[in-house]
Amino acid sequence: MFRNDNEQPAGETLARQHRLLDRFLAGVEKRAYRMAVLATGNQDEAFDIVQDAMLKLVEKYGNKAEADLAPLFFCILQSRIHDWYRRSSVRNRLRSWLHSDDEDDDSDGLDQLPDPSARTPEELLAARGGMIALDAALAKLPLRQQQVFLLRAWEGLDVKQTAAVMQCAEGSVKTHYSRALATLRDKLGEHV
Amino acid sequence: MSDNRHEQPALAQDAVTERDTVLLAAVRQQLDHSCAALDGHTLSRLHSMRVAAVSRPHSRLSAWMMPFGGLVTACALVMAVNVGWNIRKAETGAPAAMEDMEILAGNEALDLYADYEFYQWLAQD
Repeated sequence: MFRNDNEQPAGETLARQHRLLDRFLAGVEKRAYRMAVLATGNQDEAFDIVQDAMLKLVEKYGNKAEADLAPLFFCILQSRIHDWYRRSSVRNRLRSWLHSDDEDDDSDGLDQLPDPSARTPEELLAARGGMIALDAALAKLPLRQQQVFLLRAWEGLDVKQTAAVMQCAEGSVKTHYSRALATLRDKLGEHV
Repeated sequence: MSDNRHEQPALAQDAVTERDTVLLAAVRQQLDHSCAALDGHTLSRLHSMRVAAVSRPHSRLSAWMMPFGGLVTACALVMAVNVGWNIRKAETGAPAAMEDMEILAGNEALDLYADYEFYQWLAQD
């Protein structure tokens, strides 16, 4: 009776926000998962990363406008991927240090990460040649080049948005993107 | 932003050749295809994760309210310390207050107490 006609009950607003979040996450979850798989080379790790990103988005930024959700979500996703990469590097360094005391280790830990291009024979048969080549080429890119490329070329973020998501300078985004594109051009030339 | 995904923003701001344009279009197409080809188990798991995340109650405090939360906590802390300090002070100050009451209630003139140090010096001489 005393409520302004323009105001909506809290429950209705909350339900609308839930629908908005659900719609947004439904739109990005597959691409986010693929990005995480390409970064980690491990499906379970990718699920964990995407789940963390979803929970954090809803918990911290659940009341944000629709236009703000994508940059926030991908920023969280990149942060989680970066955390995973750092933990993996430390773990692999420790492992290599413990198991090969007599060997000189000048690697940066990247060679210890699982090979995302390693597939079972069934997967190789099921997947198309072009997709395998693309996955392999993307997986071999340095992590930041790979993620910048995916955000720019696939997700459609511009340089400024990508820089904000990756928390780096716009110049770095251009450099990473250019190098990634050059590498893919060399490796995928015959597949496209 | 998601709506702009296929407007090729990468091509607008970066100097790319026609060959790169073809390459990028093919890459996007293959990546989109890889999403469409995800197996049922993966899709089901992603769906469950999304439902769990959305149904979880998010923080009711807006970002602009967070400093007020801190302020309230700080005020409560200051009040607690202040009350504790006063209680302790009241406990230690009780005997002195009782002495003052005895003097005020006594029959002696207050001037005697005011010049107490003088009379003490006089008595020593």
